[in-house]
Amino acid sequence: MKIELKNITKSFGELRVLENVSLTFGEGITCIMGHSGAGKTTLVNIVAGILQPDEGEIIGAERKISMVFQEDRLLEWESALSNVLFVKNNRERAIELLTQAGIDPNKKTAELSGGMKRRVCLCRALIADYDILILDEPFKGLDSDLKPSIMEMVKNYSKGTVICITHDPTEAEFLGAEIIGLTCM
Amino acid sequence: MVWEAADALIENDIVIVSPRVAFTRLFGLAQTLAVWRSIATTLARILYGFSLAMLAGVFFAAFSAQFKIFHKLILPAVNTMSAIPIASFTILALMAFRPSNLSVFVAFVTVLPIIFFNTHKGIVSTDPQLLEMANIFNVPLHKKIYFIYFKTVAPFVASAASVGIGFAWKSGIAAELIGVVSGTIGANLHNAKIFLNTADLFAWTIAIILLSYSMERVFRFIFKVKK
Repeated sequence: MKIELKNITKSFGELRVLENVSLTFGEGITCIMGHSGAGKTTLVNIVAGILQPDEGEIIGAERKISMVFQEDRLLEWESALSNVLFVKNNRERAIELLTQAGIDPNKKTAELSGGMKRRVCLCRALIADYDILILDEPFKGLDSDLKPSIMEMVKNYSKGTVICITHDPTEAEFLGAEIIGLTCM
Repeated sequence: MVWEAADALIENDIVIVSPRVAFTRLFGLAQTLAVWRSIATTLARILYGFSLAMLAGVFFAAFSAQFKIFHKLILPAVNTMSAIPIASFTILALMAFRPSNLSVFVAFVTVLPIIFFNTHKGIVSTDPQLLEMANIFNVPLHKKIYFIYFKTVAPFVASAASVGIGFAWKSGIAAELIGVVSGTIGANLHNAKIFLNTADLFAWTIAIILLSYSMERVFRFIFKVKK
């Protein structure tokens, strides 16, 4: 299963963020790396269908997508468990994932720290039915001692095509991912 | 204290009665079945008008948030509704409705704009990023409505309703008073005024305040609206 981007161009007003980007994401984990403003999030948002490219074509994007967004996008008034169950009603699996991520399933999301919220986002993305998993800086804000176990979760539980944005080459290395670099225009 | 002092100063039972006289009269009124019937009639009609306004307000607001053209069409009508004085509405309604439906109609038109504007504000303030997230994960509509829209809009609706219940109560009684609808609180107030029965007027006013306060408390308890 692969997703192919052909000559993708995207601008926001006068600012051209992507120009003639052609990429293929195959099975397994691919990490997109690059400086801030290089267009990493724009690129994955195009793959997810959140943004439409100005020019170019995406082949294979009409599949089920799961995502860890750059912003948490959690239901702050609900518990961690409800947030995970929101996307797939599998209570047992949701509790298993949250517990493994070190989150009390019944804790109110608003009471969680930034790093904890990030882990809830990851559990939510992992429980969903998907063909393409997009992770936009999924390990942002995680304590260094926790990071390896969370990255291990991604490695073990992700399937299909996984696109992961990261700034840290060691994360890409840990995940055993193929690396694609984006540079600022 | 102020009331006692004013009564002592004025010393005219047609203008003002003492708290003792007013509360004694209220206690006397509370022991007659006809008074309770009047209260029940007024309460039922106002709650009916209020409930209709809640339903219509939420429905129109949801429709309005979904379809911009509908919003543009309905906005002048709702704005006009909120600008027209209760007395004008009552007199107009007297020509169109049976007196028994007067307070229902007036409570409805008074509360509808409050519910409409607040609910619409709640719906449009729903976080678009959460909706986008739900779309990415193919979350079914009923879950989106309950977990995103309902949770975002509910505080707006509850707050509007707690304000609206007070308005419904005041406007409904005012309509009964203007329309002299028999067997209602408004008619009793009217009779007290006509017969210069100031003790009755004060007793009924206290009863209205107590009922209004109780209704608001009950409503806040049901919907857990925090002050």
